[in-house]
Amino acid sequence: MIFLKFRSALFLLTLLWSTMSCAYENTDKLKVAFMMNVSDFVSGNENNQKKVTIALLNNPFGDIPKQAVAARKAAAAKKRMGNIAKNESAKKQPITFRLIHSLEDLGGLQILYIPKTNLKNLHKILKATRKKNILTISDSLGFAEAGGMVRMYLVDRHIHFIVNLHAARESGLTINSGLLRLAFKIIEGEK
Amino acid sequence: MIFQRPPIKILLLLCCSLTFSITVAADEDDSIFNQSLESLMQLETELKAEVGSRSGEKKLLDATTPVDVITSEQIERSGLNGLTDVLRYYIAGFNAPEPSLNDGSDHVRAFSLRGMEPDQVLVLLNGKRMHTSALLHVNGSIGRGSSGVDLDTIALSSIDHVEILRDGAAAQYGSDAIAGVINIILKGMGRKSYVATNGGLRKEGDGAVVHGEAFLTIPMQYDGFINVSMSAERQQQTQRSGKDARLAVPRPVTHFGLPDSSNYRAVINAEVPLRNNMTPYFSALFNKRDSKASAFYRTPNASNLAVYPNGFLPVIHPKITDYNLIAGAKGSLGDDFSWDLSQTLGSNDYHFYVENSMNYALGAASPTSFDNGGSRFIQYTTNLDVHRQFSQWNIAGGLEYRVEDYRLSSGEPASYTASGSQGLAGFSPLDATQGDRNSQAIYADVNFHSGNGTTFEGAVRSERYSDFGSSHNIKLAAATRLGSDWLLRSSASTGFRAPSLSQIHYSNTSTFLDTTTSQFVTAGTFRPDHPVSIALGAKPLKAENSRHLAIGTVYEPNNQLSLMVDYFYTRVNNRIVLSDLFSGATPAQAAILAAYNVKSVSFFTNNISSAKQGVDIRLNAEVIPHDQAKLNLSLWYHYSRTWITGFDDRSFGGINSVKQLDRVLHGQPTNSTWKLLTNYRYGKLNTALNFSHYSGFHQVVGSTPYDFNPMLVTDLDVEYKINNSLKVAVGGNNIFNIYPSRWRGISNTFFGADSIIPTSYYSPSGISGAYYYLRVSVKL
Repeated sequence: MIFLKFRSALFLLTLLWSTMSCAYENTDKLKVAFMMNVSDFVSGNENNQKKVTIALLNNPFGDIPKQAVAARKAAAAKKRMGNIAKNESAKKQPITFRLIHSLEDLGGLQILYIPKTNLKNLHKILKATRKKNILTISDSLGFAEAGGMVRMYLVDRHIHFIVNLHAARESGLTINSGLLRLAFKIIEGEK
Repeated sequence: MIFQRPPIKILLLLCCSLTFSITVAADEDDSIFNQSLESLMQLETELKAEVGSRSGEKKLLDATTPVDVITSEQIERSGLNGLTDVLRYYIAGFNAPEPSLNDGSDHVRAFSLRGMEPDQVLVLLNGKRMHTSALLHVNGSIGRGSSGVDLDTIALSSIDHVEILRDGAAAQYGSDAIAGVINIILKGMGRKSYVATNGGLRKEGDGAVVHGEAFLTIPMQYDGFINVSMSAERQQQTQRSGKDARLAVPRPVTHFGLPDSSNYRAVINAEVPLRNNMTPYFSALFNKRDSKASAFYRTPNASNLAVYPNGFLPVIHPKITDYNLIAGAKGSLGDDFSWDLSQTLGSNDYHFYVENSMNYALGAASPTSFDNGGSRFIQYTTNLDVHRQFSQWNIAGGLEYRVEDYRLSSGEPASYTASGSQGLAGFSPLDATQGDRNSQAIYADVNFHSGNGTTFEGAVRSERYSDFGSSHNIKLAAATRLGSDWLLRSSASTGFRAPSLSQIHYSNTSTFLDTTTSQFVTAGTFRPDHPVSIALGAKPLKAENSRHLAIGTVYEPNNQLSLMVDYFYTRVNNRIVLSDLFSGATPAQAAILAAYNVKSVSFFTNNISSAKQGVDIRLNAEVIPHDQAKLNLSLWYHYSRTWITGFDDRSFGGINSVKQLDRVLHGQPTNSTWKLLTNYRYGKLNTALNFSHYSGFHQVVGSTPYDFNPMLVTDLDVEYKINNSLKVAVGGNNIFNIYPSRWRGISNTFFGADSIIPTSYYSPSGISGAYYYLRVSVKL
């Protein structure tokens, strides 16, 4: 009798799958999408504002940035046709990703992602970005402490972040209250 | 026969369903890149775990070995207050019956993973080895002869998630990782503070529970945090005893059910990143437990009439104190190179007291309360771990130095004089002991991830113990993708379990007047190095050695659906068991016992080898019918079977056989389990409905195994979010009040359908019936 119940449950499952939408997201995709969003909330960078350039100092994300750029282009086309989904933002800017290997390549950037593998040179990197009004993002422990501006981390499978407003201000960047409102913690004090 | 008829049907249905699902699965589009920040923060990422590899967190479905994760939300939704119960609730193949009338084991529950002993499961806290309980299970519960980790020492509010590795991993983590590894991860940065309370009752109106907990997080200025968790719990006993036929008017007088206990737990977890890429960390666990359960009722007789004219019920009242401290620092020295240095100190103190009792030998002058002595286990562990990534290679290694100390202290003289206090005799000065040892280990772990979805892992570990010698172990594992949907995985490894200090040093003997010889004689459990044990054939304990093979597959057509099928084979040689009681069944043994003035003897010995194979099949589905609703389903089948591959009774005259073999073959409560876990969220409503089906099980009495019927148990939790900070839930465990079937084929004073123990305390879902509760939590 119990197995008949299991059988019924399985067929019900099959039917339900036809109505599914996405259940969980790849962590790296979520981080890339997060970085793309952050650019909407930052001003003060004197580089080209028509297109946001996110640089990756080493790339732990594989092909995801390419997918992201393509998705953003497709969304822009939809936007021109007035077909925006409910949970999509209407003010998305065009994005490009650039892989860089040296601090000499920082020109023309709005955002720099610093992976865990660059922690050794973190202070040198942050010092270089500060002069160029670049927003720094990382998912490394101790990033905000070291003077990084936005630190991403996961809690209970959800993305959260800390904003080091003091560091952003020192770089001449202004962070919109829309981003600050969603931050878990805002660091404003003197370092 | 691994696949019985019903599972084959279900498997075929699963395959059909899965095949169909391919055609209807939602396409994995990239809409995530156009979603608003608020929407992104609502999305859930895939489950990941650290255990099983030293190269960082891995998505469960990409792992080379089967790993499961229980999240903090699942823990909260279970309505349970102890980790042992939570694991039993969610993990098929994890068994933790609720023993009663088993002396110390009533208060520190033995558990088994994949049908193996509690000491064959390694437990880690934030990746660091936890210490075991000082209690050695020596009565009739599962895990007899072993000392496992007491999982109920941890405040559940402190736990971020629990990772369960279902594979041998001694080549990575050392001794004990034979059945698997449980890694408890404490909450870190970014959690909200909250307070919560829950309380409930059994359907019979007893067993009331009142539980309060708080989780407080103190954010540091930057990435640091200090988290403090506290809980206090009061549980009243349940009474499920049958009538005592020894009384003139038979009635239940012995307590058979859950103990009467108070549990206080506190946990601190902190990390403070510094500017120089170094992060000091600290965690501390503390647990104080005060628990009472009875022994068998003593009817009035000539020996106790002066003190208890109406008979009495001895109460065993242990006081347990446990703490675990971890202090360390982690950081990076250069690109791709990380390190972690830590010191762990764990201590468990289990002290027995007996109340409402007497020592017959002392007559009317006997005290009625006794200090029976106790045991303490302390473990110091120093670890240095390093890790470096070279392109597609992850190389990790480390050193471990561990010191262990076991002490057994005697009770007051009245507790052990002659036959000692009724209910439980105290430890005598002859039993009191202290033993210690140290071990050094060096280990390395290599992981190669090719660009085309294939992963190879290799681990080696060499360990030297100061008492029994060395052990060298290796593990090889691989996983490869077949297309984008299928993953094939396999592992092979060797492992070991060092004999515990409690098995080496435990002794519990009593001296009394033998009325046939009019001489004082001694009886009980003797150390293996005691002369009488050696004369009977005991040898110094050596390590248990194991071999493991696992083959599995993961099918994940999309990110809403996954199916895992994992077969495992584990062989353990030289298993350490507590021997049967030698009481002079052969002339040679009788002569030995007489020479040492001993009435009866049991001792620990390596004399059984066994093999186990089984399968875990797990289907997970997540369904989001629309924006407000989400349904999670998990269907899990576990099967395992044990057989004896070797038994050495030559040293024991061939009589030490039946009970030991029965305990290994039938000493675990079930060999197959189905679990269907569902969670449906709709707006502010969050509902969990879970079904657990346990196959029939056995319990051995004397040398005969008795059968009990399969059980289907249903749990329900309905939670409503009143506002952003307040949540209220009602629910029940075993809501249809299912009890294990009663004994069949046995009927004596103690065991039988109408006896004091009417059913089996090996029951996989307990012996106390339905429990209904109310829970309230408030975010601060």
